[in-house]
Amino acid sequence: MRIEHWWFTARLRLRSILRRNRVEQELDEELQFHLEHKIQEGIAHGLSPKEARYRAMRAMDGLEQRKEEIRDMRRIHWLTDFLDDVHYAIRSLRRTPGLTAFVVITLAVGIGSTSMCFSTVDGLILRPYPIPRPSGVVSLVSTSHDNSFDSFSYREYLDIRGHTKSYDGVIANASEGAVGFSADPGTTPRARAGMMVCGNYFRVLGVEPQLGRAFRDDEDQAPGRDAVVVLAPDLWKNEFASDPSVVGRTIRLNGRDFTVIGVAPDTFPGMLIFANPDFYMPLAMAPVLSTNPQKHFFEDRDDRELSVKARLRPGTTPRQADSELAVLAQNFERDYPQFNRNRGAAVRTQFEMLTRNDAAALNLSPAAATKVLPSSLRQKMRPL
Amino acid sequence: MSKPNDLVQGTLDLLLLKILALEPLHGWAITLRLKSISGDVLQVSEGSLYPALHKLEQEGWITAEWKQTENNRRAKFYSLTRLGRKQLESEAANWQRLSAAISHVIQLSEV
Repeated sequence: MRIEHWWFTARLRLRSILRRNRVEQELDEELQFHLEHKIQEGIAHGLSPKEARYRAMRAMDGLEQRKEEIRDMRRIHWLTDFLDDVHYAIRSLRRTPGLTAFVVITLAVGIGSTSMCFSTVDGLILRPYPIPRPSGVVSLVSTSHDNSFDSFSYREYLDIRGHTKSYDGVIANASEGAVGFSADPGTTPRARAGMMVCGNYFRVLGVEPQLGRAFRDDEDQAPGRDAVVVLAPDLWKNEFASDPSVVGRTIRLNGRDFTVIGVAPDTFPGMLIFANPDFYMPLAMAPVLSTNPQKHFFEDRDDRELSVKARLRPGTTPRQADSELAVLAQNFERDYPQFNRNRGAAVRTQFEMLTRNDAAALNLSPAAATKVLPSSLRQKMRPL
Repeated sequence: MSKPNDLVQGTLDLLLLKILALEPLHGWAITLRLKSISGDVLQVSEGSLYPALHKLEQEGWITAEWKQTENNRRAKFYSLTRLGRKQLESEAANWQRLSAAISHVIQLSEV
């Protein structure tokens, strides 16, 4: 009974919605039919055609009003009214194109900038490193009076690696640099972004290559010995058409032959947000690649070119690691006063690195906004 | 003084269902039929007839079909559905009960 009832009414309402014009036409025709009979009846009773028509119309009590009442019976009024309102709104907007354009642009800019702000925050702050257990990875920074996010030198990195107990692994990478790349030794080199990393880089981050293998620990021991390279997923796709036989091939980087040993997985575009490397090489290949020409990369304690990260041992807090590193920094200061005077070290989380308050990072704090204002304006904003 | 064609609230549905139970009719024919079988006592105004018909249709008690009339005009004929027949039975029973009760009340002799 209920289903039968539902079936009936659903069909009728659907028809009223989808074939609105047809239904309206039928209503017109039905009432017209009645009106004509009514007029004829009047004429049969001896009225003039004009009078008969007038009386019939009156009896029908205004056709339009009847129609509206009948439409109510269909119970789709909310929908047809809504459609009429939409039409009306569109017509009104069209009458005032200037205002409409202004409002649309205002809304567009407002929505656009808000969503841009949120996606920036999402990309920069809320998104963790693209690796397993990203929260366990912290950044180790050298601190001086003018830079609280400084890098470490190779020698310092080795000492940190050898003398700390808070971590399951300490990794280092040099900043990305332009490297002349040719897929075949014969072709003209093109500039690509290469990054030198330590031997345990991928292992500590927990990143498994999708093809071949990652670096072995012994591949960053002897300077210049192991010319091996791991490709980033994008370079593999764009330059090698995702060819799996790329492992074992020789490519040329800065005029030196390197053997491709693996391809990083698609899930790992790199640890940076915007600029990701095209390939990774062992730190030990520094002589072939660009480092500070005034310094000896492997020897000078003040050739600070390495970003150091570490994976915290389970149960160790960043604060504990920070205290341990501070002690080590005091030892450095004592043992190498000429390089480490007034220099400390600290452990920073990913969030602290991304919201760092210096020129090297995008600053998202509201305080940053006042910094870029002209000083005269800043003067005015200061409370009196 | 009330007009003779005033219908008790809710009885129009019952009358329409009953008339359509006899044979399918279009709106105009329904007014004529109602007048003739009630001996001109019951008249329904067009203003109530068509909304009522459409309401019954939406309820699924009657269904409409476009057919030719005897003088070859296209007209919308209404006929009773299975649901409508059930509705008619229950409304008719209801009406019997109600009108019997009312007659009973008004026939009470004063003490």
